[in-house]
Amino acid sequence: MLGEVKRIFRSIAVGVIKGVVYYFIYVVVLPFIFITFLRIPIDVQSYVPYLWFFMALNTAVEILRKHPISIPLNVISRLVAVLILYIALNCGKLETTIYIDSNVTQVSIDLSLVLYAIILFSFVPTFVDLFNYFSTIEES
Amino acid sequence: MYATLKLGVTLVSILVTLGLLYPIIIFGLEISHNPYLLPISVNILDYNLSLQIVVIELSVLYRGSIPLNDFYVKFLNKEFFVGDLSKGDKKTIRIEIELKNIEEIPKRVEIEFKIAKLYTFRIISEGGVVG
Repeated sequence: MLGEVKRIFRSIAVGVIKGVVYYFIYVVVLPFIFITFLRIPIDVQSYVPYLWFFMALNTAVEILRKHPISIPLNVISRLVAVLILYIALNCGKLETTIYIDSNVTQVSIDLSLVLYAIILFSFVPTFVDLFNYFSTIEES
Repeated sequence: MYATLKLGVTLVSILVTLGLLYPIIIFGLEISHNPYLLPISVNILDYNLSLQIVVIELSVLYRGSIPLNDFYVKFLNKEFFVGDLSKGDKKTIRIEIELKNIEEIPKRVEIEFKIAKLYTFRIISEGGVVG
């Protein structure tokens, strides 16, 4: 019983830590990269509510790791992560207005390719988990 | 076995993503450190009053390390193809446009190119040529 309680607390701690890491990446690192290097602002407020949901899902996945329900929860969590990235990067089409010698200049860049690659790759570990899960069921 | 497979595909995914991001990061760094990475100049070579034709010379110089492809300059609803640009390339094109008055030379200029054939980059200047 005590061991189970410990496991749950450990899972919550891991889920929260993972959430904080993702929060740091999406709210601090991502906007920093785009604002500093590309001078393209990112609207953080547009995706923060999804981020809280994502963190809660991650914690649930950690607690229920040994239960089959963790697999669909993990898929939902990945979908939410993809949605956050999609919103943060404005569907891959970023634009900003800058002033060069007092002239209004619009700059836009299409990052769809890398965005779709990240979306695809973010599901790869989940596919491996699913494959592993169904193989285990077949074996047993 | 699955843990190794998962780690392997994750590493491959990260490497491919970094490879895809490399040109845009380098281009972003270069342009933020050097505002004159891609100077574009326009010279009016000739203005024929009787024919109402203006001959313009447009020059593009590129100092960056990431190749730029399909470079276009658009104004007066026309596209002028400059081509591909690599480090140190300077390309000049001559454009003949019909104008009733030299004052009509457009202020809106659109520049479009692909960074390493991957990312479309567009600059629209409302006040003349960017440089």
